[in-house]
Amino acid sequence: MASNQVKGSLELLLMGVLQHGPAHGYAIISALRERSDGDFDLAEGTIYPALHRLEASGYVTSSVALSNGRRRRTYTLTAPGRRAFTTQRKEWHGFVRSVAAVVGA
Amino acid sequence: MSESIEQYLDELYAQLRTDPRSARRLLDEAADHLQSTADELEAAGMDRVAAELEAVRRFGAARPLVAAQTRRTVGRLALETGAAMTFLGGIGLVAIGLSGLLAAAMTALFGRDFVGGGLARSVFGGPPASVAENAGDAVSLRVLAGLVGVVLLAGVWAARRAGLRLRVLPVSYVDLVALVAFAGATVVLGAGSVDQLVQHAGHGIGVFLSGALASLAGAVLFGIRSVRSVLPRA
Repeated sequence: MASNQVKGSLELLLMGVLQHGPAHGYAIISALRERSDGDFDLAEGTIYPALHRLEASGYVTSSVALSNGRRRRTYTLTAPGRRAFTTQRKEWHGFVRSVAAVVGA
Repeated sequence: MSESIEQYLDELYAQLRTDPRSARRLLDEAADHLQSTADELEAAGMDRVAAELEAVRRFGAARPLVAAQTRRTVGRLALETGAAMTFLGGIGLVAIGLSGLLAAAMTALFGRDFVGGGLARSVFGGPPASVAENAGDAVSLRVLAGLVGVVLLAGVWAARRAGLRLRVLPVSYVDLVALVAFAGATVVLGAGSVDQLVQHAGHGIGVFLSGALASLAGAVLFGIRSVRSVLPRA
């Protein structure tokens, strides 16, 4: 999949992973790759600025814990984040249906 | 950790120009992510050096990551340049106001001819009314400019209180521009003072000298700020 298409929906995708439970950055990128069967091949570092933006918007919170001697930050979807995700997912499905109706399935 | 991850983190650190907490956070997360990727690849059979190189490749180049983190855009640069120019203009006008107060003090100490005598004598032959008008203008117009400068600085202060911070434009650049401007003004106005002393026996020297002293104060202030921004304090 073209990387700019992924980038345009990156925050929705991150919230989509976090709806299943808290995760750190490395786990999030692994989940994105697994669930897309490797289609989402974006530069892994790009998820961090997006996660920081989501946190600044109040859609996720984060906490730090030591893991194997390294500081690891875990992200959790908040209640406003869950509502935003539900709304954006609905808009996304509507968009996909409209595009499919025009270009054909 | 081998050199590839270390070098990548060094590059990321060198390019990050954001508040310290955000910078440390991104570096922490990048280090953890790169190590985790390299560990996984090594566990899958790759040798450590190759695993770290692959981890860095997957993570992506530092420059776009920094751009996304700090949101550096032409619009942001224009906004910060405007704020910096307003700050510098305000400081310059306050310095002019200060020179007006110095001119008033010089007039009180040494008489109106010390400040207002130069132009009035050379052009009008030195009628007392012209000398007095020149001396008065040197004070009132400059103090008025100083008050405008205070208003501009109050606007910059309010913008900072509202959250406008320099993220793209380095603060040290702004200080350096101010240092060069004030140092240049000190040299030019100092030369004017010497010229007035030599060519006009010191009549009207206060017009230039007051400006030179105010500029010197600005040059010293921004010189200290510039040095402090590049040399850590003990």
